[in-house]
Amino acid sequence: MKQKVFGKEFKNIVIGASGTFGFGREFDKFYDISILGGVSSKGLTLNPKEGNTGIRITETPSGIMNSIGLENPGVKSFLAQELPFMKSKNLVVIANVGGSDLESYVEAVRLIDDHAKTQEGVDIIELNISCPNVKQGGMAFGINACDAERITKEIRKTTTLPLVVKLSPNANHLVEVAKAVEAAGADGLSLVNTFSALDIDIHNKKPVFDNIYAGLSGSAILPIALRMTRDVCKNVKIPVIGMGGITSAVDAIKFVMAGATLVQVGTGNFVNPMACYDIIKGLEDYFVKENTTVEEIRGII
Amino acid sequence: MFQVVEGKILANTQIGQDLYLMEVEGSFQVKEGQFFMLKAPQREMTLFRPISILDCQKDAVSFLYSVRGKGTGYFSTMKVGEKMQLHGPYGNGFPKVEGSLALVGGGIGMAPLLLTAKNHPGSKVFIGIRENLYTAEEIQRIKDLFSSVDMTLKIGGIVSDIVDFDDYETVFACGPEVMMRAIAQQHSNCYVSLEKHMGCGVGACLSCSCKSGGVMKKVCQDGPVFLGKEVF
Repeated sequence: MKQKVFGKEFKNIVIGASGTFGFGREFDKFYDISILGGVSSKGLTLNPKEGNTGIRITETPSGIMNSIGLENPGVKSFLAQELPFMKSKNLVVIANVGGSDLESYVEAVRLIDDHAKTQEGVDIIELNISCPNVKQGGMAFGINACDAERITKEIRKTTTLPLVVKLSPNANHLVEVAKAVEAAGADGLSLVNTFSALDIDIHNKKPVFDNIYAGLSGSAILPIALRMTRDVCKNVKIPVIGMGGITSAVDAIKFVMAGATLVQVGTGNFVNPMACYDIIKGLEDYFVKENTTVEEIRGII
Repeated sequence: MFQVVEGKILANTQIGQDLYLMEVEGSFQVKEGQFFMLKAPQREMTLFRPISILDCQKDAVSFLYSVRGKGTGYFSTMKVGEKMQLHGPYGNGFPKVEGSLALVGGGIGMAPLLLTAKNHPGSKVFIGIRENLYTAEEIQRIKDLFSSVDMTLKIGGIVSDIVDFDDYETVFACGPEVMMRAIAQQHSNCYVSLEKHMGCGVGACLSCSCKSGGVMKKVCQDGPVFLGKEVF
């Protein structure tokens, strides 16, 4: 199942998804995470962030909603405190980066890029363009193709590291955003991030989340995420990392058949802390039993 | 290493209208004030739920839980002999302290106080429950649960009214936030056990963050027990 993607060797196609896998340490207590293809860090911003107030997670039918608000220690602390452990696990380390405006994205990526120039650093940047742009009324960068292209271009100029752009399923036209990001120089795409959603506490007569809307993920979104992954894969030439409700090897195979080169497991890690481990074993069994390879089944649908 | 295990339900008894006592088979090393992540595997549940340890024996761990939503609702329907999925125990738990100690619980906040009191001989437990919530028989069941420790039950009103905080070197509190806040303001050496929605229980998702001493902490791994004056 070994894959060379973005010039990096992945032991297999499974990556722990940003925001659900901490900095790897947390799940390394359940199993040795060096079996993974890669880990995408908790979303990082230039400066530390405390995240949102109020309830941050609830369960929905077959899924969850979250409104963490990008709580993170900031890029500098990540590089000093968390990255060495991730690198020690001999897997592909992906830094997921967010921001509140163009400048803060650029500065965060610059710090990661500079660090990687002088030592064993981050392998891949995953650009989270679902963050609201505070300078443009809070609309996320990933909603329309023009904004997505502009930020991708700026980040492309800032780093020579492989650049994967994580797409928002809330985009006005997802395929247009994907094509614009590809044209702007991204090396790959990852999708989908969470779906904007609402829950209401009928007793308090208030939204459950202080931010009103929160992100829906988990099994509930899988069929939609799968359709979106296929749509995007049919329209771009760069590799796509598929995700959205993967909790089993069967789910992961569906994303590969829809065109994904690699997959990420997010909410699945909460459903079953051994999810990534079980998925890798399940994939190994599948490819042996079916006498096939990732390459043979990729994009066959 | 952490692991997810399946444990047979040995008992799942209704104590009061929303209050259940569940005993799960298994041999666990636990500390007072810790919790497990629990899930009913045959029910439609995505997340595990963090539930405080009431008590622990050689071959079983018991939980006192209140039915709050879908997950704990499922728990209440589980039959003896069915299996629960669990991982843990997690959290720092209450510290081991010397000297006089009062344990104050409000409502379901009583749950972590039994094992804590057992492990602190001479400590005094004060539990407050809402008026008109439980029948005389149900109240007796709560008293029976705590019969091995020195427990005073206050029905209705504010439980901390019956505690003379000057008499105790240390106070442990668990219950509604307003109760814990008020106690923390009355006693400088007060430890509180916080409750938050959790996603993973192991510090990965940051759903249960709180501010303690001016820095962000994870209730699941850095807590659930914090020095009251640092969180309120």
